[in-house]
Amino acid sequence: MTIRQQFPFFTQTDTVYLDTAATSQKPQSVIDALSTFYSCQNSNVHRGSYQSANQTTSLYEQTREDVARFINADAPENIIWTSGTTAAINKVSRSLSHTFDKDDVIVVLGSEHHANFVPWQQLAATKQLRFEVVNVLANGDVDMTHFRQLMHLKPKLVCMQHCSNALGNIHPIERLVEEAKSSGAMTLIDGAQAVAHLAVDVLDIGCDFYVFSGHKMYAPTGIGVMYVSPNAAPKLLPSEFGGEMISVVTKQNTNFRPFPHFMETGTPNISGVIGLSAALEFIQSDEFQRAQKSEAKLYQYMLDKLSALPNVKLVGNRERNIGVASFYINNESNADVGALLDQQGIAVRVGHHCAMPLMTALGLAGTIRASLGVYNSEMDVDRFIDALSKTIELLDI
Amino acid sequence: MNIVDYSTQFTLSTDDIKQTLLSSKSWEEKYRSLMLLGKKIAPYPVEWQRQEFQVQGCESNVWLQHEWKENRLFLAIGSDAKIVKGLIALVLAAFNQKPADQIKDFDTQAYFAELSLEGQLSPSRTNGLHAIVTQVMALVANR
Repeated sequence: MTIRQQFPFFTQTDTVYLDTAATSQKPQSVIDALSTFYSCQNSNVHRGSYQSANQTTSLYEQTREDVARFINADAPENIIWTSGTTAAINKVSRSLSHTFDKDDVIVVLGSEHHANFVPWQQLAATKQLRFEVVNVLANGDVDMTHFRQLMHLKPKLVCMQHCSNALGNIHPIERLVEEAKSSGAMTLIDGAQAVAHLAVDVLDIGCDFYVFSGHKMYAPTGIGVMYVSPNAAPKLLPSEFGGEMISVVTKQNTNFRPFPHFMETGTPNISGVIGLSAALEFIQSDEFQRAQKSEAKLYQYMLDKLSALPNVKLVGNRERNIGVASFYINNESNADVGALLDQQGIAVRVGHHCAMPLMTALGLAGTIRASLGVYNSEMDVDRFIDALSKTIELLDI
Repeated sequence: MNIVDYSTQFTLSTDDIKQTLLSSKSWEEKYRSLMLLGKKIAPYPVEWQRQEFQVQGCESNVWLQHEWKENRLFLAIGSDAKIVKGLIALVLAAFNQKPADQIKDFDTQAYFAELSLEGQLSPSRTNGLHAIVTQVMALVANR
């Protein structure tokens, strides 16, 4: 069975799916894990005194260990479940809010997804902090000179994407974190786009927080991960309240359980965690790793074909990239291109990709984004290029 | 340029639209015809491309202005996308310079269905057609 055959989506449709940066398709093993859970194992975690509850709890906690190993975290206690990257970032922002004083500085990259931009901008507005945005170069990379200037401001927190969702650029995150740390800042890395494409080692990166979503790495939607370094953990306060996170509740007062327990309240997304477990197994399989290696070749193939088309303007760093071709067509509206590609069964993303500050900095209204996943083939790229040529031809009226 | 003068430059009727689009034999031809219909709209003046006239819910820029004169609705709608401009031509043929009652009674759903473009009218589409039609209907309702 080829990797592609493990994805039932492709047996239902002949759509050319080039929108993995938005969400990946799910392999049969992940779908089976969800189905088995609800058919045979469904019970709540941590509470049951009966066998199936205990089995589910151990599967659930085992996944925490697997995730910790996957990103080389110190221990499973440093892994917090969230509903996704956006929720994780918002949660860090609320849990850290008390550490900020007026005029403290928060720095983000100019190429951030709104999820790692707006929460910090809002926190800054509420607490009268300075919110600083690092300039981007013409290819969307970090302007290192400006980054270093901002580090002189001694920011309290620096929040950075590992890879650009709009362009696919892989940022030199280890170096950025090192420089941020030496200026005394805490660091948060948005790894949403990275985890399905790169081997992530949070100890090596040295960040305080690393957050990502399951659904972009072949797992279900609604499950995400927040890694908290042992250094950062004592700075967090509970930001959501309810069951599970408490030790004693009286009419007058509540005592919270210690970290990490106070970070998770309410019944968690158990099936999501179990689906994530299956996705981790899939990603770590030899088969996936082999297929992943050919992704770079397929990416180059797509870039070469795109560059050969008239009026196609590619944007972004194509040397260090996770397989995203972001482009526009001279004098054509992206919406028109997207609509005509859709007519031909090509699924791409069109617009600002939730990165309006980046598009503004690049002087673009948006781009057309074709992003690769492990299931894509040269045939997909060929069909996409044929459809795009036809689109360009049709728009020339 | 005022809105009434601008909008009277557009003279296509819904029958013209049907005749053009229903004669196309492939989707390619249909989209081509649609975009050519869009070209029949006079260029939307740059000085009217202001945020306050922008229709929300469109992937591309769409601007809409109107004026009532002798109980008729004069419309000026612009976009920077060729397909959306084509869809705007369809909207103008149905509503531009028409009296309020006629607009209210017009079966938009059936019109787009006849053109086999009902999918374009869905609120989940980002082309903005749904938002444009909703805004025109609101103009009539709130008059």
